[in-house]
Formats: sequence, C-alpha cells, structure tokens
Amino acid sequence: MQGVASAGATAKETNYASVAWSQFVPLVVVFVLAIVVPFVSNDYWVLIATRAAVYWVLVAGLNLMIGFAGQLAIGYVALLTLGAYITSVLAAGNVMPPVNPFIALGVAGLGGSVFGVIVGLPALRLRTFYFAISTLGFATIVTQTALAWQSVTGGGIGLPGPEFPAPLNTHWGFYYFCLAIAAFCTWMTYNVAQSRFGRALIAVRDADVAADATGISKPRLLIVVFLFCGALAAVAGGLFASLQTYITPEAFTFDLSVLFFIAVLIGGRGSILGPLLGTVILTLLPEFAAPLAAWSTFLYAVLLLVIVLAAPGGIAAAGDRSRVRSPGRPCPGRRSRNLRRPSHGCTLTRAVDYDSARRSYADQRRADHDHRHRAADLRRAVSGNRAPERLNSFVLLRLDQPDCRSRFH
Amino acid sequence: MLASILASGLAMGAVYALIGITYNTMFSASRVVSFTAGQLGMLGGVFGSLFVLRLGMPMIIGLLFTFACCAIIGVITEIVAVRPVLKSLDQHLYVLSTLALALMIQQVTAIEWSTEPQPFPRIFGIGSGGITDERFWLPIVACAATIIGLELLYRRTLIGHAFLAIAEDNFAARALGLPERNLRIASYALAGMIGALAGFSGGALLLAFVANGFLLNFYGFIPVALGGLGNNRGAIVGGFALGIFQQTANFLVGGIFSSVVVFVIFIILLLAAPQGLFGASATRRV
Repeated sequence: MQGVASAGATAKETNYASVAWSQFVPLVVVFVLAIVVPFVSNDYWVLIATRAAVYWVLVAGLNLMIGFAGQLAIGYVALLTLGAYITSVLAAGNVMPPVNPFIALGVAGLGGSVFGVIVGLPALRLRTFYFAISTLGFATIVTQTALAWQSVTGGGIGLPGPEFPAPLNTHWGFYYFCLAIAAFCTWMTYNVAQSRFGRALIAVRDADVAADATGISKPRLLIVVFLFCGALAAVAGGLFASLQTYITPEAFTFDLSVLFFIAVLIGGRGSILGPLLGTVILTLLPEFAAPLAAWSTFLYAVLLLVIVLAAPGGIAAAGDRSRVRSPGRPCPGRRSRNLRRPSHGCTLTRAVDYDSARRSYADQRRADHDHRHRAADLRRAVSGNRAPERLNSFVLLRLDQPDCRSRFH
Repeated sequence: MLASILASGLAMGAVYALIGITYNTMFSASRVVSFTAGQLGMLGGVFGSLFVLRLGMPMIIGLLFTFACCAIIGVITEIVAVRPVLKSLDQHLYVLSTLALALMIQQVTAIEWSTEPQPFPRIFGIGSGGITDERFWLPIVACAATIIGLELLYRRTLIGHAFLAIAEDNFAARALGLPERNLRIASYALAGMIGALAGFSGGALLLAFVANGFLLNFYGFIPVALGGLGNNRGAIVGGFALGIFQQTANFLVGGIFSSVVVFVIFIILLLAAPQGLFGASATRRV
C-alpha cells in the first residue's frame, strides 16, 4: 500500500520536474544567445542588447504583476523614471555629497519598492480600473515633478546619468553587467513562478474570492509583489540612466510604459519566456522599421487592441491551449451572462463576482437544465428575487476551478 | 488672492466634473469605465482650435462640428473597444481595449496636430484678464448647462427614461423590449459631446494640447472615484471640490507639490472610502 503511494508520488514529482525543465531550458538558451551577442556583432547591437536587458529587468517584475497577479499597471514608466532620477541625483550629488553609483542603485531600488507599494495600495481594495488609473496618475505626477523641481532634477534640461567604475564603463562591460542583473531577475521570477507563491498569485488573478477562502491573503501577497516589482523597476531605471548617459523628463514618455505593458501581454499570462521574447522583439522592432518610428506607439496601440480582441492569452497561450480559459464558451447561460442586474450605484466588484458566479452556475447546469435555467433567469429578473443566485454562487464557487469541475462531471 | 483661487478652482473643477460626467455616461450605459473620456476632453480643445482658428469657421459652427466629431469618436469607442469585450466583462479586457483606443487617438493627434500646446480662440471676448475673464466662468456655465440638460433629458423625455432603465436594470429593460444596443450607442455619442464641451469650454484654460488627454483622464476620474461610479451628483461635487483643493494646494505649497498632494489625498480617500463618498456602500463579495 505504502509502496503504491510512494510510486505515485515519484511519478508525480518527475512530472513536475519535467514541466519545470521544459520551461527552464528555453530561458537558458536565450541567456546563452545573449552572451554571444557581442562576439558576433558590433558596438551598436551591443547597445541595443543592453537596452533589451535593462527593459527586461523591469518587465520581469511587471510580468509577475500583470501576467501572474493580473493587476493592470499601465503607468509603470513612472517607477523607471523615479529609479533613474534617484540614482542620477545621488550619483551626481545634487542634494548631498556624491555617493557610489552602486549604493545609489541600491537606494533607488529601495525607493522604488516604497513607491511601488504606495501606488499599488488602491489595488488591495478596489479592482482593475482604479489601480490602472492610480498608476497612470502617478506617471503624470512623476513627470511633472521632474520637470518642476529644477534644483534637484535639473528640470527640462536634465542631468547626467551615473557612471559606473572601470570595467563597467565600456559597452561590453556594461552589457555583461546588465545581462547579469537581468539573468538574476529571470532566475528570481522563475523561482517565484514555480513556487506556491506564484500559484497563489494566479489564484488571486483568476478567482480571488476562492483564493481568499483557501487561506491566501491577497493584500499580503500583493504588497510583496509591489515591493519586488517596484525595486526591479527602479533598478532598471538606474541602469537606463547610465545607459542613456544623460536623462531628461522627455526620455520617459508614456510610450515606454506601453512598450512594457505590451511586451507582457504579447508574451501571455503566466509565462516567463513569452514576455522575455516580447521584450526582445519590441526593442528590436524600431531598428528594423525606422520609417515607422514616429508611428511606433500607434502601432503598439493597434497591437494591444488586436491582442485583446483576438487572442487575450498572448503567444504563450497559442502554444499551450490547455491553459487558456476560453473567454466565451457557448453554453445556455451565455446569453444571460451580460444581463446582470446592476442595481443603482452598484459597484464593479459586485457586478463582476455576480457575473462569474453566474457563469459557473450556467456551466454546471448546461447539459440538462437549459430551459429551466432560462425560465428561472427570466422569472427572477422579472420578480426581482435574487435568492437563488446568492445560494448558488456560494456553493458553486468551488466549482469555478476547472479541476474541481471535472471531478463533478 | 482668495477670489482668484476660487475662480480658477471652480473653473478647473467644472472641467473635471464634466469629464467625470463623461465617464459616468459611458459607465451607466455599459458598465465599462473608458480611458477615452479624457481624450474626448482633449479633442474638444483640439477640434475647437482646429475649426475656429485654423479653418476660420464661426464660433457656433465650430462648436457644432466639434460636437459632431467627438460624438463620432464616442460611437467608435463603443463599436471598437466596448462592444467586443462586453461578453467577458468579468475579465476586465475593457481596461486594455479602451486604453489602446485612447493611445491611438492620442498618437494620431500628436502626429497630425502638434505635440506643443496650441492657442485656443476667445469665444465671447468678455472680460480681459482678472477674475471675470470668460475662461473662468465659461466652464462653469457649460457645466451648469450640462447638468440642466441632462436632468431634463433623464426626467422629461422618453429616451432619457430608456437611458435610466438601461442603467438601472439592463436585463429587465431588455425584457421590456428596449433596444439596448442602440441606446448604448446613443449614450456613447452623448458622452462624446459632454467630453467635447468640457474641452471646448475649458479651452482657454487648458489650451489645445495633446498631453491634456491623460491628465484629464486622471483628474477627471478622481471626482468619479470620490462620488461613486455612475453617480453624476457625486461627480459634480467631487469635481468642484477637487478643482478648489488643487488650486489652494497650488497656492499654498507651490506648483511642484500640489499634484503630489492631490495624488496622496486621492490614494488615502480610495483606501478610506473605496466606493466613493457618495457611492452605495453595499459590496457583496459572494
């Protein structure tokens, strides 16, 4: 009996190991390719590759936030700006004696994590749009402050970025420095994604009430993610400032935010390789389509719209159909899905939870309760009596998880 | 000093309140909060300047054309960014689709119009400088006119009642045979015109500037967040409160930190009263 159990456990472990392995190998391949870039090309491409590595440091964190936790942070360029200015100001010694650029980078990381949490606070209590708008507001405010606070940030004239000591001030040296940090970030986010922490994030993204019920503390989880992402974004900012050698508020347009955002979305939710490829592709794209440079943000926006409307899962989902939650499975309840009954002044939260509960209900009953369900829907809507849903949403929440559902069929 | 703070505060507040009403009009028709609200405000200024200053149209014709263009943008929003994602409202795809459309609008404006602030025509030429200047009272008049117009529309007309019915209970309204889709399109056209009015009346204050789009998105959403989504009265009160608060902070702590103060207050208020100060507090999680 015991033997059978342990054999089963071993089989399960190898299964997990092979899954982890198959996700890890492509990342190593990308890393090896990145190492050989300087040997097969010139300084210009090294510079582009450095930029991709710096962007990836930020996107790696953003990926946990958007792809795993499902929090739509749209103004993330603000934290890049913040990190760039903290590092540059400290290294240039505008407010106090100049400090070592490495220490400045560390301080920027700390500052970024603090502001990452402050900006993320609305996400703990409110959903999606509020968080999106608060990050957007933060982005506008950071730019305004950078422009107006001339004594420290140099205003519109800007200030020089930090310069790192000897081996790192060449193109090659700085590239390998950024690549090392990028690889370290990849390794960290990979570990997070593979652990129960990452699974908890996905649970919060897909069914936060169910996650709550299984003992996952959403606020604690999200605050850790905000700390981590903020730190990565600010460190990326410090590296960016050093790469640019001179920074002005114009260097940090909202367009950059869109680039980061789309890199994650193209890559797909819950993947690390996808956003990594997305970042590399989007960094390279303007190099190949120079005539379109002025329209690049417009094209990114079109791309975003197309992704949202045609393939909400991104590249990663195209390769792995089983993980995609189909956005609109035909079922008898579907017609009634967006016919929620929003009472006056109803909140987003409520409408949404009600909706997902309704869908799980409809999914459950789709085989044999078609007519009865519709009739009941109509009756309830007409009479205004909502007791049945309340009961069903409560009971069926567990069934919202695909695994649980198959067990009941 | 106090008078000028009040004048500019009320004027900015009126613009914010109008953008808030734009958000609400779209929200009550579709349960979608759209990023295009701020862009419509920006376009109101840009189209106004384009038609009146560049093409030399008379003021009233320019205003009508601005209304028409923004109404069309509103309808495009509904068709391109809202209708396709209504099926899966719970996935919040509308945040991305409306953001994408807002970015497209902004980029086209930046490339085809200008990335620098452009002058906006004087509308009546009443009161030069001082606190009786038209740029201070015009947004307030526009806001009052919109409030009265909306009240009349919602209370006195059949189509207004239909709007309310859709907002109140979508399902029952459809069961009664109301053409929900057409009413939604009409609401988006209406929202476009309100946004256009915000930009047009505030044109002298904000200028025809492409960067106003996301600025108005943020400052216009604060009244909505304060007043509760879908609550027009809350948005108006919140808008004026924000305008006066912002101008006072501007005077007290200076331009650098006034936006920081506004942002901090916004975050604190959201944490303290997530559903807004006037919104319905009943949130049922399950």
